[in-house]
Amino acid sequence: MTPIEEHRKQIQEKLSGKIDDVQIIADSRLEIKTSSDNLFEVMTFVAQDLGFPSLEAISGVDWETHFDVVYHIDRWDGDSTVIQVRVKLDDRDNPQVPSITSIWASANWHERELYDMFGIHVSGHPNLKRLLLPEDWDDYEHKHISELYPMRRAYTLPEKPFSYKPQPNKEV
Amino acid sequence: MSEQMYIHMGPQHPVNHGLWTLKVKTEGEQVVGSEILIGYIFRMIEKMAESRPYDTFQPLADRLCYVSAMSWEGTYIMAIEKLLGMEVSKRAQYMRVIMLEFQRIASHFTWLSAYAGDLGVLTMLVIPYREREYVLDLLEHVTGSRMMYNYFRVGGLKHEFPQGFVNDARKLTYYLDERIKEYSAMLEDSKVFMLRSVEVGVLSKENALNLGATGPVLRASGVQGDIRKIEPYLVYPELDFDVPVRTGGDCLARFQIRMEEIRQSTHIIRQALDNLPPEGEINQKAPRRLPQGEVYFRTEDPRGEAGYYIIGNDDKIPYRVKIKSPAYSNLCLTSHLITGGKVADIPPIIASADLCMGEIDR
Repeated sequence: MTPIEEHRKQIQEKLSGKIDDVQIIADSRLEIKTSSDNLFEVMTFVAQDLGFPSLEAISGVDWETHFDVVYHIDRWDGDSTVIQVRVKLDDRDNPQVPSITSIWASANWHERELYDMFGIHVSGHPNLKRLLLPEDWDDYEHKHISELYPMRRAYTLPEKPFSYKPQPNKEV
Repeated sequence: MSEQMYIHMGPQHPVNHGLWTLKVKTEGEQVVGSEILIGYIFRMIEKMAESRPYDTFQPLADRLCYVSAMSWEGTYIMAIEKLLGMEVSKRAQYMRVIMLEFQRIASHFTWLSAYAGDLGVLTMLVIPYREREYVLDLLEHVTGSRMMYNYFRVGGLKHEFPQGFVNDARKLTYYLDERIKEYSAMLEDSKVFMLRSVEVGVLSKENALNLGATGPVLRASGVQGDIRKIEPYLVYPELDFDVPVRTGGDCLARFQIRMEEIRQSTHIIRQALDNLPPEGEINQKAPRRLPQGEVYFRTEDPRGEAGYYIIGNDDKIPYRVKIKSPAYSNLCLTSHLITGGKVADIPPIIASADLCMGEIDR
């Protein structure tokens, strides 16, 4: 049994009920589908019992009807398996995932970027504020709500280059 | 107990090598806290990739990192090929390996120059640039450009190597090997250099993994982590090379890893030049549309693990392109490394992470 099949078997045995699906989607790529409620438990199992010490990336995907948050987790140590954990968020108005910064410290910036670009709230994050856009981006003058979170599909690139000037917050 | 003070290093500060801000909280000479602010050159390059046909994004992928443009366009092209299920010819694969390894050498020279300069060894600020210029001359001879190459294509490469390239390249690798010996001798005999490198910014194995370090930073902490070996791409399995690993985890280990990698790269290039198949299609036709599906493809960039997560939706425009940058994680962990140390240790720690703001801000 190759390492990736062993990982799959272990996940099926130990995490039944917590996950929706687990399958090998490509050479050394194992996908786990789960919900945001069970995410923290699944991630703890992947990090501690399966021994995947390193988080590579967190990607948001806007499917227009729902969001996907995709985590890529790496093992190193001669094993090329990358576990891809996919969380589907149906609530478009209030998307939320739990923070996994306590499991992998590198998740800190990835989660901030997720919030910054997609407006997905990461609950339990120690320092959830904008990372790449200015911290006071929400106070700027926006034409449309989608401009708050530029990686959402509703946001389209402007025709000509533009420059932003900070607008003083009128209420303060 | 002395008074606490905040120091702003950046966005324009000599140690930063790019636009970003490091806020340091100090107590006398001791660093007790730090915060990193980035986003000064945020260009939303992922959105650009999602707004145009997949083959027209590749010149922009060059702009992700101005020091190693070839590896970023190469990673993008190879990820797209993986999604399309394309196989390029052996000749094109060998040519790609040669170009990528020359790029790695040029990138490490830039790093060496910046690192030695930060440490006060000003002779080494200019010498690596002289050697890098020879490498860039060679790349310019092939691609027509010194930094933004635009040489890879889906299905192969833009054109063949020019006449006489193989000889020039081989000569250059021997020349570089000689030079590297000189560098190591010059720096490891320098008291200033060693005082500021040995046991500075020590990163343990557990922390390196947990904080998401990749590339030379990870290997300096004792993890055998090289994508060229773990998940080989191109013709790397056919080539003989070692992956240097050190267990020190300090700035000196990171320096030694990079020096050794330059030697290994020249070794790889010579083998690839010897085995370069004389015949082979180097620019195949590519389909217009990306199929339904997704791919997470990673390669070994000079800075660590470069990855693309691409989702195709039966369209010529990719639905989602996520760029995983190694320097992003390496910058995030410098904040952890400088806390608890001395203010004077900040420049070597930052420089040893090999940052490139182009790929961090994207």
